[in-house]
Amino acid sequence: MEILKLAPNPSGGYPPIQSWTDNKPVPEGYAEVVCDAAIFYESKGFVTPTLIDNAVVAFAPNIEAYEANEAAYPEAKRQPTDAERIAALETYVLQKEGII
Amino acid sequence: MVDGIIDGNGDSRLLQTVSDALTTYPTYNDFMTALIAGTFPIDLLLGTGWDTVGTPLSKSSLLTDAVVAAIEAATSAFSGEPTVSEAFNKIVGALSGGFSITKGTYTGNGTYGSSNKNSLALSANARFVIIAGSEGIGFLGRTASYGRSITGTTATTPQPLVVSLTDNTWYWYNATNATNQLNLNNTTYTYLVFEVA
Repeated sequence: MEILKLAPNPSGGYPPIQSWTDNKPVPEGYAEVVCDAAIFYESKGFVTPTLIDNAVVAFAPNIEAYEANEAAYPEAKRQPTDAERIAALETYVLQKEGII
Repeated sequence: MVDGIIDGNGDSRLLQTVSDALTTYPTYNDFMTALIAGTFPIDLLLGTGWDTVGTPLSKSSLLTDAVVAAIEAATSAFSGEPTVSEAFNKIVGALSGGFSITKGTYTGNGTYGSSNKNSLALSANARFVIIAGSEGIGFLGRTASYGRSITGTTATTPQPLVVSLTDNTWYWYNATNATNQLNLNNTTYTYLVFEVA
């Protein structure tokens, strides 16, 4: 089975869903996820879960919390590789000396 | 345990169905339809055609409460009713230096930072965790405030994972990005948990 921690992070988003051994009781503060989790991942965990009998049966996006988090934690830009850095420097020097 | 040996005279097992089967399934077609759908009710009874009746597969023959209590007394408590495999796993763990290893998975959601901690519910016996995903690996220790991740974007420099623990939930985060936090969106991470037996 898969379980979700019921208390969200300070950002309002929920931590990732984790696997759990079927024959062990769901730990306190967690609920079994019995629905599709596509919305959970599309919303990066910023959702409002619907609970029935301590099981998550649906997720709805929490757009307000999602957008606030995107502003606070922007996606990191990819760092250029060493080859890309050298190529950029070569281009800069060649342009500065009027060669290209 | 004793293996069961049938006489081979067609009398080792009997089928019994509900008393109103003739009215509920009046035609052969009704019977077959229910059979195909997996809704036809039967009990499988033991017949008399046995040369040797085998040991039944039951709790009393596989793993009694007394044996479970003895294992727990020598090691630590189980969470719930253990299977035979879990009981053996705990014994093997005790024999191999007092440790056992369990595994699990989580799927990253793409967030990072102190307001977006990852968390895992683990047993009270968990002491050390290794996490592995497509972009790298990480290490967490129960008594350590910091773990480390080594990921594709920072292969030469291990990145800090700030670790905390509440009850039996382990938390960690990295302040830089989701890759370092081992939390890339829609990426499956496998974790191994080293537990004291």
